[in-house]
Amino acid sequence: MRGRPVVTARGVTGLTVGAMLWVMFAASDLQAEEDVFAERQIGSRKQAILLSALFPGMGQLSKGRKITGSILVLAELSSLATALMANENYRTRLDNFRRQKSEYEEMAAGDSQFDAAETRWQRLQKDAENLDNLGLTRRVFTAAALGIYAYSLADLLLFDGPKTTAAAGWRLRALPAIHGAPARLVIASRF
Amino acid sequence: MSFTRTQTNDRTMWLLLVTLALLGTSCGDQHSLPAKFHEDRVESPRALSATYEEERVVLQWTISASAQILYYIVTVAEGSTGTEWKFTAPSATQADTVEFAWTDSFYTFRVEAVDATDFVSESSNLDTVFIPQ
Repeated sequence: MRGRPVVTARGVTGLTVGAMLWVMFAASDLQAEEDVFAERQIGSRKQAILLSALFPGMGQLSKGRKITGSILVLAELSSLATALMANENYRTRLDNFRRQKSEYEEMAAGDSQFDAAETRWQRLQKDAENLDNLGLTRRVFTAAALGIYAYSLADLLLFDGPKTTAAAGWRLRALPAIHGAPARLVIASRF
Repeated sequence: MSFTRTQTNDRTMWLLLVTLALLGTSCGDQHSLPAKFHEDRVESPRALSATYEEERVVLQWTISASAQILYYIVTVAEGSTGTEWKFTAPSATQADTVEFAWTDSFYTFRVEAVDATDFVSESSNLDTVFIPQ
């Protein structure tokens, strides 16, 4: 019988086995590539964590997440600047407050007047209110700066792991073909 | 002892949170107000009245008997210029008579008490008298 190819069961089996072997080799190659990719991801992740530990947002920037990284860097810079300015202002005013407080306490020893003591007391109260506000500003923005720092690290440590099919836990399986239907390969995946 | 990645992450997060808490508590404010001493230190004279009689101004005020007063300071202010003159009155009295080279003007009077430590009390109420010349 010439001119017409004969498809035998052995041939089909051979083709199937060949296809399976090819798929296995191809899959192993893909897996190897993914492992390399994962290693690269892990390597850059460590670098990103180190960078974010140095300054929040730098790690995200190094991983190409420019918007997140930029927002974190700017938020950290502005929080730090505000906290430092409030802290410096607080220190300066605190020195003045302490001086006035000691002068007021010296008035208690005598040789002073009610009016002068009352004026000094009102000034102390006003300064204390200003120091309260500055202290609150300092605490809020210090906490914000630390929160951004923590978030930046947590973002890389907890939520930015390697995204490979192996890590994601894909399960691929071949489904049995329907009898009489044309040959096809069906791959189902469960996420 | 080995830790899984999740445990390590948890430990890192806890360390960060503890650091945040420590830093937050270490930023305590250091500006407490001192004890207010001046309001109850010396009682101030009350109900001051000034009356012009025969070239003199008679002042009267009240203060509690328990007040520890060393002496009083009587202040006279001339109405048009605001110039002030101060006199002292003994602690035993709650009245004083001021003799002065009056001019044709309003004069305002006030009295302050002074304790043994030379702390001057809050001023009494003001009383104004017109003295014609």
